[in-house]
Formats: sequence, structure tokens, C-alpha cells
Amino acid sequence: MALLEVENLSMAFGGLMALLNINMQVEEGDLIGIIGPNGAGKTTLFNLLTGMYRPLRGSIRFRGQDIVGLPPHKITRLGIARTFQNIRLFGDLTVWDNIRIAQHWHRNYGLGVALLRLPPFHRVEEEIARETQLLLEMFGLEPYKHEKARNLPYGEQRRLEIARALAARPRLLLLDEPAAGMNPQETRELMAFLKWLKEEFALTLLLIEHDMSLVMGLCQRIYVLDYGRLIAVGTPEEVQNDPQVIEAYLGQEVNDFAP
Amino acid sequence: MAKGKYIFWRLVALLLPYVLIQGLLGAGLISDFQQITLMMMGINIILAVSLNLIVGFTGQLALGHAGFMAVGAYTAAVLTLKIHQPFLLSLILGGLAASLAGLLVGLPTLRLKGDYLAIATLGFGEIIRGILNNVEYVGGAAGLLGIPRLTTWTWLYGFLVLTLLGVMNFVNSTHGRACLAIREDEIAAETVGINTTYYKVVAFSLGDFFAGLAGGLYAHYFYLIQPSSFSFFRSFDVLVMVVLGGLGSITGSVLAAMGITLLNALLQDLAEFRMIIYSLLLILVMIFRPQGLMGRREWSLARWLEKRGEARGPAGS
Repeated sequence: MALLEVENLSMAFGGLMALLNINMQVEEGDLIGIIGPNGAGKTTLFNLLTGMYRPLRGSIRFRGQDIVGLPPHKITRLGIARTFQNIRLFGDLTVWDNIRIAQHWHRNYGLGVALLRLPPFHRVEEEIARETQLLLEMFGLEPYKHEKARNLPYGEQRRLEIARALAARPRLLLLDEPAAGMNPQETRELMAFLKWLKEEFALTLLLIEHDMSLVMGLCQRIYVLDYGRLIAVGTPEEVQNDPQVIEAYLGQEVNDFAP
Repeated sequence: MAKGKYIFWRLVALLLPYVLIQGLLGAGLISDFQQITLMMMGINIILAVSLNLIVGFTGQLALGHAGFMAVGAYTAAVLTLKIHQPFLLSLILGGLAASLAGLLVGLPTLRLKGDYLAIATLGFGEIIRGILNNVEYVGGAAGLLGIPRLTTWTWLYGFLVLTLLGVMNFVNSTHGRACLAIREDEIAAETVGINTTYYKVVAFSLGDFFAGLAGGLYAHYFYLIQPSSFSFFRSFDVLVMVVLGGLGSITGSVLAAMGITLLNALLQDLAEFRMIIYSLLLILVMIFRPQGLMGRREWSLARWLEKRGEARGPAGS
């Protein structure tokens, strides 16, 4: 059984078809890239997978369960977490709190326990603190733990957002342009980091990326979107040589030169 | 800092205001006017802290706190006055009634993202007043008269401490942090697995519970409650306290509630000047401290003792 199965997924905004009949198969442990020009529908696809939009048609099955129509928090609890193209942290809260909050659904106690500070409160809070500390150390964010998230340097904000997503214990992690705004050196570091991440947390990764060196160097399989349609699927080599992909990126070949 | 010593100071800080005022009351050193101001301070602190939970911590603008206070006040007053129930039970049922009203208003509006709650609560406050004005059982526009004066300094202080502890415990728990997350970024909150509707409703009805409690205490102090005591202006007054103290600071709400109550009392003789001075003060604070007096910071006894200890040199233990 595939981890994620998408069938004939379509989405429209008003009269605009943002996505049309998308089919995808993601196996456990895959590292998949989603590329395409601006406005191709990549982020819309993520928003559908995480339940932020409800599709017009089609089905999404995650670990065999149909997740269309489930609210985002339930989908997260099933094991899909994501990051955002324009980082969405809890800006005025500390790095520490950002990570603590993301453990909310799997490490918690009742409202009564909270209000009366009953014994489970201290036990669970200690567990939360331990995992938070562990994650911050793994992601090199320890030195920033008392800083407000909004005051972190850009690269650290990106890393914090990934760490926060992992604190929610996903099996499938969706990364929306993790390399945006990074220089080639940082992008190379990110590549190594993502490989490590995937192994360390036994994740399946789906990433939207514009940086071709990253996508081609990292992903096993690539989905190419253009104007809401899936125009190619394949290995990096296959996709690079696909005439439709070349056309989408470089424009149509002009054959009839006027002499 | 030794733990025993910390608990000792905590108890002192908790009991000192109570014992001091109780002593002064017993010795007859507090005038009636001062006593009214004092009681209003307590009630306003409960109102401001509970509204801060909704507006400051969860980020949901609510403009009908007086309406929920009215629900609590009338419920508790009817229970003691007409059905002869014990005071404590009536107060708690008043709080629960307000909380239930909060659920009714909150459930449909808090499912949506955006400021629908502000409009709904604004309407709710006026509807409640409209209903109370027309129900003969609770006296209509003339109000309920002859409510037994059961709210003493001891009762008030007890509920004040309970409110503060309850709100502080809530805010510093996984549940409170879920609310903070919603305030910061609702979309990010749901993508880490937080049921945002649930927490918005919880924070809102918990805040309304305390507003209802404050209403019950109010009703049993002033003998008389009228629909006009719970107008939009009271909701607005409480909101001003919250904003002035700092959205998201319990300490700030406490300080601002005390300050504004005092100011209202002092300016009572000035009649029309009162509103001018009041507005001027607000404008000045918003210019020089737009984040409110405390911002989002809290004053903590433990930290204060630690700092004092450091200033004195290393502690013996």
C-alpha cells in the first residue's frame, strides 16, 4: 500500500482551474520533488494535501484512509506535517515555545489537570521539555531557545519551522521551497541536512523547490506541474529531457525561421 | 533559593493584601466610598483578566464582556433572591450560565477565521440588555432590587485569587499555549495539530465563566442590578483596562484595572471633565506605550526574589 495516493485531484478558484486531474503515488521512504513555473499549482497541491482547501474533485488517501474533508489538525495527527513558503512561525513566542506547542496533540493532559495543576501536569511538562531540548540540539537551535522566533536569522527560522513540523511527529513531511533565499553554499548544506533528516526521522519527503540543483541532486522522482496539469513524472534525467518540461520552462521551440 | 522559603514568601504575598484590608475594615478605617472603590477594583480585575484571556492570549476580539457579566449577575441574583439558594452555589451557577451563553455565541462564530466574534458579541451584549429590559420576572428596566448583600471582602478576595490562579494555570499549560499559537498564527497552529475552533471556544467560554462570576459578586454587593449597568460602555471599560495593561499580560490587567477603577472614583466629582481626562490619558498611553503598560511581560515573585538574592550576593543555601 502506498503511503499517499492522489487520484484525479482537481481544484478551482472561481473559474480558474488551479489543479486538474492530478495523480500521485508516494511510497514510504520516498524523496519526491515537485517543480513547475510560478502559479503552476504546487502550493495549492500542498494546501489540498493538508486539508486547508477542500478539493473540487478527486481523492487523497493517506495510509489507506481517505482524508478529503478532514480538518487540517486531524490530518496532522494522522502524520502529515508541512512548512510554508513564507515561513509561518509563532513569531512573538520563543523558539522553545514554538517546539513545545507542536507536541500538543501527542503530549497532553486534561483541562482540569491544567487548571488545578494536578500531578500529571509536571510529569508531562517534563517530557515535553526533554523532547524540546533534544530537537533544539539536533537542529542547532539550542543557543536561540529563549529568543523570540521572529528575531532569528532567516536560515534559522527555516530550520525552526522544520523542527516544529517534526515535533508534531509526521511520517510525511511537505516542504514548501526550503531553499528559497539561500545562496549555493547554503543550498548544498540544506541538501545534506535534508538527507540526514529523512534518515534520522524515517520520513517520507515531498518538496516544492525552484532550485534545480537541489531537486535534481536530491530527489528520486520528480513531478512537474504547469498550469495546474501534471506534465511529467520521472527520474531527474527523464524529466530534464522531457520536451514538455523544456517547453514549460523555456517556451516553445521555434522551428520555422524566416530565411 | 530554598523552596520552602519561596513558598513562604508566596503565601505572604497572597495573604498580605487580604489581611491588611480585612484589618483596616475591621478597625473601621476605610470609608464607605473607599470600600466601594476597593470592591469595584476586585470585580474589575476579575473582568479584565478574564477578557485578557480571550483578547490578549487567544487573539479573539470580544466586545460583549458586560453582557456575560449580566448573565452571571442576574442568574446568581435570581438564585439567591427568589429561589433562596446558597451564595456560593448561586455564584458558580451564574458563572456557568455565562459560560453557556459564551458557548452559544462562540460555537457558530469561532469556527470562522476573522473578526466575526467582535460583531456577534457586540450584538449579544445589546440583546441581553434588551431581554432583561422586558422580562418582568427580573424587574424589567427598573432592575432587580433587594439582592442580599453577601459579597464581602473575604468572598471577593477568594474569588479574585481563584480567577488569577485559574487563568495563570491555564495560560501556562499546553492548553494555554495552544491559545497563544492561535493568536500568533491560526493557520500554523492547525498545521501542528491544534484544534483551533475548540481552543477558541474553550478560551472564550472560560473567560465568560469568570465574567459571570464577577457579575454575581457585583450583584450581591450593590443590592440592585439594572440592565443599564451592563451596557456597552462597561464592556468597553474592561477592554480599555486590558489594552492599557498589555494584551497578554495578567499583571498588566491587574494593574490597569486597579488604576482605572481608582481614576474613575477620583474623577467622580468632576462629572463631564472625567471623560476628557480619561480619554486624554488613553491617548497618551497609546502614543507612548502602544503595547500597554506591561506589554506581554509578567511580574513574578520568584524572579523578583531571585534578583533580590543576587543583588545581596550568593544566598546561603
